[in-house]
Amino acid sequence: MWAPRRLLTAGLLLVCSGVARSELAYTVAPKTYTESPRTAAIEVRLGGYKPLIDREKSLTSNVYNEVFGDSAMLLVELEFQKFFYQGIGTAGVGYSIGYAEKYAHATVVPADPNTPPTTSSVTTSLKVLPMRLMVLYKMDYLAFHYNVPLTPYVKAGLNFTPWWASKGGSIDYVNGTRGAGGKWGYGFTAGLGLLLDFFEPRVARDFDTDVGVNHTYLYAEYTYENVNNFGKAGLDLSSRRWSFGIAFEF
Amino acid sequence: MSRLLTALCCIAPTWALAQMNIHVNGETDTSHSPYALEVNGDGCIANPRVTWTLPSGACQNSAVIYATTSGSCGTTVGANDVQLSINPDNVSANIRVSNLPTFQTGDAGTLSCPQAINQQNRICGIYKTGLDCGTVNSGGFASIFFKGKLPIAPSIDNVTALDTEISVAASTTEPDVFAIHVEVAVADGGVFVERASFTPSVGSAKIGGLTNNVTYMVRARSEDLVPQLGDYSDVAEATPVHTSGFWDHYLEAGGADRGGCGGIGAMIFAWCLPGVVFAALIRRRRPCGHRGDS
Repeated sequence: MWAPRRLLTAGLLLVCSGVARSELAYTVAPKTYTESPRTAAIEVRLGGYKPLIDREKSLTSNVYNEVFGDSAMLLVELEFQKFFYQGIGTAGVGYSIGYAEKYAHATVVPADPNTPPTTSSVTTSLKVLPMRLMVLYKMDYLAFHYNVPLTPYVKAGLNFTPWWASKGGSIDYVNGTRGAGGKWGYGFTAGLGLLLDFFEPRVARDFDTDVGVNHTYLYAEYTYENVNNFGKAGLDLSSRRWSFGIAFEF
Repeated sequence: MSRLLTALCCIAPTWALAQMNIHVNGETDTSHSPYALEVNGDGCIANPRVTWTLPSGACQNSAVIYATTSGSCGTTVGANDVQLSINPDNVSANIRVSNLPTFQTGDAGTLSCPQAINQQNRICGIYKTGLDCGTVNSGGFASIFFKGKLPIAPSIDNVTALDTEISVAASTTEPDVFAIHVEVAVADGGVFVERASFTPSVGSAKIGGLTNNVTYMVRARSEDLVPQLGDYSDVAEATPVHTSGFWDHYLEAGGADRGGCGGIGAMIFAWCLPGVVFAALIRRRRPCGHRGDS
């Protein structure tokens, strides 16, 4: 009478312990995180842009400084990158476009040349739209394999910068010469990115899982560019500048 | 809450339908803002046509159309209102401008048209609903604005002297003005010539082709929807002066640049490349799963 009941109890215990073991085994099985494909990046940056207009040889005075003062323009840039190599570092091509403007009051030219010019209520401005097609290389191998959160990189590219000078809200004409044009040039950039994933790896993984952004960087870079139609005479929109921004690789 | 929203969504279109849609000469106050029709004394013998559509559920031929100077429409025709005789087609009526309520005085007498009066006359509708057509409803309206006065003069808010041009800003308080005309003359006995025109919402215009160091007089006047031109504003003066901006400074200092867009290469760089980048971004496809998923 008691034997079958004991047998049943023992059997139940065995089944339960088996279930418990299998549940324990399931709970402790490690979840593996696999990064989504990384093929491109978007960067946004800000920086001071002061064109080297005053170094044009034919100029008899420091035009930019006299009109706009010594301060730089605020340049906002957006850059798209497409990667074609990912191994020991990452290489790709990029295209960036930016915008900067500088305003000042025009001066009233007196009829008497001995009278000093006065400030007019009319504003004058210089606006630029720097664009660049580039190749780039990021040394991110150490960041991804050895937990070093710093990624140095370099870029080199062809520049084209449309510009226009206005007075009173419209493009300025002086003796039929239109104050607008475009300048070709070249430029080099070197920078250092700080990989934010290093500080919040879990958030970084979620960012990848949810929206496909693999890595996020804060970065600083220095740009050396000559934008003067490759040394020809005319408006010189070359610059040497620092920029700071944020980059998203996806 | 969701039920409430559903109910509101269902009821709202019914409210929207439950209006008589009234036109005067085919216009509504919205389509011919701010009034469906605006007339002055020249229009006293005009006989504008009023048309309407009844909302669904309205009793057939139950429309009553009347004109009123009241600020709102009601469900009865007031003593000083003018009820319109409905045409045999049952969907239109006419009212002579000289018969508008503007010309009916409070003691039941009449005024001759024209009068130096500005007044809005609402053409209101009443219609009936219900099984026995016992429910009287107030419908929509369209306005005939009798404008017996000329538009008041606009005010010249600002005149800025620029290089061979001046910038003029002007405004008006009248809601039915659709254009402000600006005239310019040389201060020393010149003849005023219209040089610019803009809507009150735009508010300003630049007048170019002027001579530096010559003083110009500027005046403006409004044109309303009748259309009729109003009185002139006070005269303002401005003297364009030669100003030197960045581009002037650059050329005067011996700058060698002469502008120029940079050729076809520049156009490709400036316009085609951003397009290619944008296309590459929006065409980018992502796999559904992650690498290593099985």
